[in-house]
Amino acid sequence: MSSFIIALSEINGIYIWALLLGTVAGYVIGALPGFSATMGVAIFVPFTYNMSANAAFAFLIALYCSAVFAGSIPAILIRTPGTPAALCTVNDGYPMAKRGEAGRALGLACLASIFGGIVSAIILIFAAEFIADFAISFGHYEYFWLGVLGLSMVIGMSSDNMIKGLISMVIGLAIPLVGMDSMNGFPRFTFGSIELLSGLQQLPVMIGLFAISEVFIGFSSKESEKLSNQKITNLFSSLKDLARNKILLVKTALIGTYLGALPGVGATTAAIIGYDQARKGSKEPEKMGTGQPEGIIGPECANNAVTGGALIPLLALGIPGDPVTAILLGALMIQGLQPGPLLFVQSPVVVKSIYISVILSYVAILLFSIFSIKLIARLLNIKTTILSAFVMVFCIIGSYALRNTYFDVWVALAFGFIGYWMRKDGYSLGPMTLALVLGTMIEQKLSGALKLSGGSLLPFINRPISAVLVSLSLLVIGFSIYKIIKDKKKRV
Amino acid sequence: MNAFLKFIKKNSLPMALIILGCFVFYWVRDYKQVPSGIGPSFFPKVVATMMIGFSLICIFSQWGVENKGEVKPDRTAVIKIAISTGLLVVSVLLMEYVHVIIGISIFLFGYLMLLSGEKWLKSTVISVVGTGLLYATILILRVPM
Repeated sequence: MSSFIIALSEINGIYIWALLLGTVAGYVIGALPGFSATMGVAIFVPFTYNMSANAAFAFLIALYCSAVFAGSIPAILIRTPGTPAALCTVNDGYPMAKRGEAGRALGLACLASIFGGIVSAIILIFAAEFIADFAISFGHYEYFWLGVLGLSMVIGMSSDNMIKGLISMVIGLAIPLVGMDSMNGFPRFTFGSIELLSGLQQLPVMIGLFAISEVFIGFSSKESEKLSNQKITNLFSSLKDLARNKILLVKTALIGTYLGALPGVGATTAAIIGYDQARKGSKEPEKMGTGQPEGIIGPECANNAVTGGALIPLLALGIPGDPVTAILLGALMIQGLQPGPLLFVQSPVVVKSIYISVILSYVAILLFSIFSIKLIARLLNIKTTILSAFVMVFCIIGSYALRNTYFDVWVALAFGFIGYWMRKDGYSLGPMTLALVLGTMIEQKLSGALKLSGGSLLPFINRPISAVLVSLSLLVIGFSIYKIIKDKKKRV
Repeated sequence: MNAFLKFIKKNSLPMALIILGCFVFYWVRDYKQVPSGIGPSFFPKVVATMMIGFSLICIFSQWGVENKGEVKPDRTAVIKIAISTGLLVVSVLLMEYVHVIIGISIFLFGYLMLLSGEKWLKSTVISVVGTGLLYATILILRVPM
């Protein structure tokens, strides 16, 4: 509790500024179709190098939370989701706006997002501490299986094409092979390059995959010509709608948090399930898609609840749940912090400050929505190509600033092409990111465990927690394959 | 010939990965061996095996199935990607040898003129003001540049 008070006492002017700037940046990135929360966090991490850990995470978490919410703004106003997570909001948000109730629709999205986000933050506070206490006894064997469990989620993540998901995962596993082998101190695939001795840095790789490839993809898609001319009034006339749907709110907030905590699921799936729950619980399900409030509340509450949920495995176990938290993991490391159970012992104030940042981010979203949502709506009329020019500059600055070497800029550019190639051919980048982060851990823990056991595989399965994790991995794989087969049969 | 080219185009990524997997096996053959057997070549070999295996499965399982990607790039998109890459390379080289400000402003100006289709005056104003604001941000936040 005392660390909570210390974290609260450390909220100063810089912290507040960082939080507000993060909210603004997230709003802009989320509201512009074609730019994602992942891209936003990736390009802005380098700007936090010289901030204190508290201010840096206030900035990044505010950016993350507001970008997930802001995706609903263009979904409601111009029928184009700003982020994939706002896909379902289009169904009822746009018809409501077309009826002249854009303010009501935006208000619903805003309040439902805030509710989902704050519920997830409260669960994060209790669950992360509990899991971290439990995980403190984990050794090499358990961490190896935890990594495998994370990777097993890849199958579920790539339900539309499992084999392409697995290929994406293998590419992610191959990236950390470059550089010094941490167990044996042997240089691998460095080809005599000094820069490659320390490996391919995760941040430039992510910047390339999520920001540069996004700009390249943008060249192939036509600029949206639908201008936002909706009048935004009575933003918070929607409180009655929320009160009428309180059960849906609680249900989707819990579902979103749970899905966020599962590696590889993410906000888009949560929004789809949230919308499905809204349809199932609706008194007039046949009217869904015509501008029903529950059609906005369900997906928006669920996708924002993912934000707190995704931070649970990141903080408690050091395992990212999605690409955004994978980048946040890198940001924690840049600040000299090692995510995982030890973080709760070594830097409890930073952990508490992260909790506070999630809650305050949603307060900032509320304030920003009240005062500036009309301004953000106008932003939708700016040409995407002008903003993508600045995104590319951020990519250059971000990649270079990590180690002050232009080599990392070339790495980002190369991965921009790889990301574009993969997305063009229908390969998802999610499994690759997950494997990129987990690959290093899996190799280190596997080598360490085998050295400890003298090459014996028995301790991998006869330790109680290991056995549970193996069973869970097998269950996840089995269930995902069963679901894919079932979905295919349904489609036929 | 046309069908062959189509096959190569469709399976370009798995085929590249098969070649990469074979290269990994070739490259790690001389890596030092350790008594426990878990030397520096162990994990690369595991990854290379998966790489080759999954790629082969992908090629066979996707036989006759169209690639459903996020976009279908046309000629204009390819040209735009080439221009933006060229601009990025030139600007980074300028940053390395001249100054960050010059590199950023030239990149922004070129991008706005060539890719966004803005008029020269608008491009100049946005690139100069944008560079100034970015540089101020870099200085205020003490981003190591």
